[in-house]
Amino acid sequence: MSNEEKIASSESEILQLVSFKIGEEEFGVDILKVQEINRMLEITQVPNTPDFVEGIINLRGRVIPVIDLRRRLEMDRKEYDNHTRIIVVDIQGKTIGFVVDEVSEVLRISKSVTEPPPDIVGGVSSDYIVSVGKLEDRLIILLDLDKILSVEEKASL
Amino acid sequence: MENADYSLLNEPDMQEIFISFLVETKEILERLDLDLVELENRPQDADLLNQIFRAFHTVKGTAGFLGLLRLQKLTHVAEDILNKLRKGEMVINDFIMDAILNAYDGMKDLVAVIEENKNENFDTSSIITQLEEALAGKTELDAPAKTEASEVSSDEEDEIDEEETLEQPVVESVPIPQPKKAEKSGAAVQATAKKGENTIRVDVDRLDDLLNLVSELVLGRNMLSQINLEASMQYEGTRLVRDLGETSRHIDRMTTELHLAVMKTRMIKIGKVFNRFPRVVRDLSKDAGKKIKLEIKGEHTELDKTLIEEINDPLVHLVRNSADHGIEMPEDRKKLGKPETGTITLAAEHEGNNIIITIEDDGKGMDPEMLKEKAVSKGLLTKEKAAELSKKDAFNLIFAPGFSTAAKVTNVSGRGVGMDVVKTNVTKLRGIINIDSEVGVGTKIIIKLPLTLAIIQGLLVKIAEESIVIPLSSVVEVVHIPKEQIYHVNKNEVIKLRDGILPLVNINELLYSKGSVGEGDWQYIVVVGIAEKKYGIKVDSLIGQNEAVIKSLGNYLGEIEGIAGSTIMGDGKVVMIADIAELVNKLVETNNVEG
Repeated sequence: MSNEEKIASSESEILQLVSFKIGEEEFGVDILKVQEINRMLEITQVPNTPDFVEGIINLRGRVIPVIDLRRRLEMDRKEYDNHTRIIVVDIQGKTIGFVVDEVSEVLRISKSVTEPPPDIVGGVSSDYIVSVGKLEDRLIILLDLDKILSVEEKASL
Repeated sequence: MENADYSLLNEPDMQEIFISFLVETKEILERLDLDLVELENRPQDADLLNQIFRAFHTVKGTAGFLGLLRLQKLTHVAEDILNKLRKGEMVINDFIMDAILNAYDGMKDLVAVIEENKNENFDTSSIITQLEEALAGKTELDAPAKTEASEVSSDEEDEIDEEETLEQPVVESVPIPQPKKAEKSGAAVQATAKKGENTIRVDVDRLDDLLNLVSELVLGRNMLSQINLEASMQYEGTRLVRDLGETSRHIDRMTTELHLAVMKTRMIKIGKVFNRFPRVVRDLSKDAGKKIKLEIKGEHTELDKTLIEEINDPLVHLVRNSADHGIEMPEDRKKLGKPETGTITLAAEHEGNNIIITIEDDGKGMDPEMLKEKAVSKGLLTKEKAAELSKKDAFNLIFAPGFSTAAKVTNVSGRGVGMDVVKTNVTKLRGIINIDSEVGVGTKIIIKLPLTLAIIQGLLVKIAEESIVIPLSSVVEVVHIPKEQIYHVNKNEVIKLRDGILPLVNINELLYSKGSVGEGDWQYIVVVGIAEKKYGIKVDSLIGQNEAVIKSLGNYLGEIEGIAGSTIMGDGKVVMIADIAELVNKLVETNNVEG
């Protein structure tokens, strides 16, 4: 079931999200898709891949690809620091790591405070956004991870 | 029978029986394939006829039990013919043989449909008609029969119903005794001989799991060795280090042995693939009106199951090519003073960590000049370039996409895609192909494959700050030479190695665009062999040899040009494994480096 369907299924549904930051924007992804969150690991470059593919890491004996979410969302590169995290997600049977600037918290928000995305939010094309959550003092952009790894993108690899 | 009820096949309780029916039937079909071709050579062999009869009979029994009416009907009619044959009431002729072979093909297709769809939506009526005609003694299309003209006894109606009553599920009779005289004929292959109680059937998935576990263990072992090394330097001379060292060596040894043992469980005799060819060659020679004998050697050579699956298609292409393009028509052969019957030899043998498969024919061979002309006329290369090609390179032209030397396109070969596919498949298995041919004498194609795909021996090197593993199977030697001895020819770097000139390639250009190799006064060159050519790869330093467990880069990244996969080192670092053949080929294409 995609996020959209989930959201449509019930108005009073509570969404559980992992929220993280890239630059000034705060993003959220469905907690059920997140397998774990890691500190930066040593990344081995993979030649001949698009530039948003950072490389591969050794996740306890498994080799998984890592994508720089900044580059994927066409934002500028940033040096990794102590806050940088790798969010490991499981999408359609593929285990993939995303590099984000910092992970904030686990959030529970009501479906009723989310709205469909405007064309561009925080410089991110609406193609990758499921919805925008309006909290009291801030906005959370709910990302569609399936889209971010969509077939067209894969074909370009 | 059109109203057949296949619901039984979907019942949960029946699944186990259904699956074992499929496994068993496929095994029987595999054996039948061989036996039927053999029958053509020895039509009077009572043992063989009995064996074939039993095979059909067993399938008929189980099919009846599972309610597979079409399969039952088909096998039943075929069985009737065989029954008459074995009782001597009918004599095999070409028409009967074709009918039986068609029935076999029909069974195979039907079983595939049953497996796929759990029904019998496959039209068998024409096959059955043909079988019935054969049974009724129709012998038109009767080419010069090998045996005395076949008279069919007139009282056939009485015979037909003899075996009509279906027994209870015939699950017992898997073991089919080997044809006793199999060694006599080159084509006959003694497949998996006695299937005693000493073997058990194991799901391939379980073996895959086992291999994965062992691969993990090899990784763990590598890490342990690394820790041992560090500890022994830091706490030299203490008892703890001594004990750690001993344990580590012990585990090292056991892991290697366990790895070997698990590899062996996955090994399958190549005979499993080779066994299909007698039939292929038989059909081809019949269609083309040629006389071809197939000789099989080394069918007991074992290799990994995954390789067996992948090597089948290339071999089919190559054997077809030999039969179609290689072997001449009987009258032509006679004129040339060759025996009328052409020979195709299919052989396999081990050589170190590789398996060598050769396909050899004594046909007309290939003319390098003709190949060049053809390539030029097809626009695959220029006249000037063609003139420079060596004999070997000219042969390699047949692997170019869109190249076909067949004057006319037959239904088996000549469409110009086959050899391209052969090359792709063999390259995928990290294999090497070699062609040797002499006009009028024949062609020999040699395929060299690694025994296993999961774990390789690698040479760990450093290229422009990145570590990378070069599979040891492609490494010929490593040389260390002073900078001055690198010369430039047409912008390409070369070195003089003993008596020859060795072109150098800089694979760094293809992998990482940063940095360059070779800033010091001395340069390490790893000499690699790809097919018949050798190239030197410039590297910064050699780190060592290691056993690398190949890990795929995952289905997200998929296949990456020039990278065979990755591996995890003893210290937990991930390192790329280079696909040398692909990298060098790419460089050769773009830079025109001459080998």
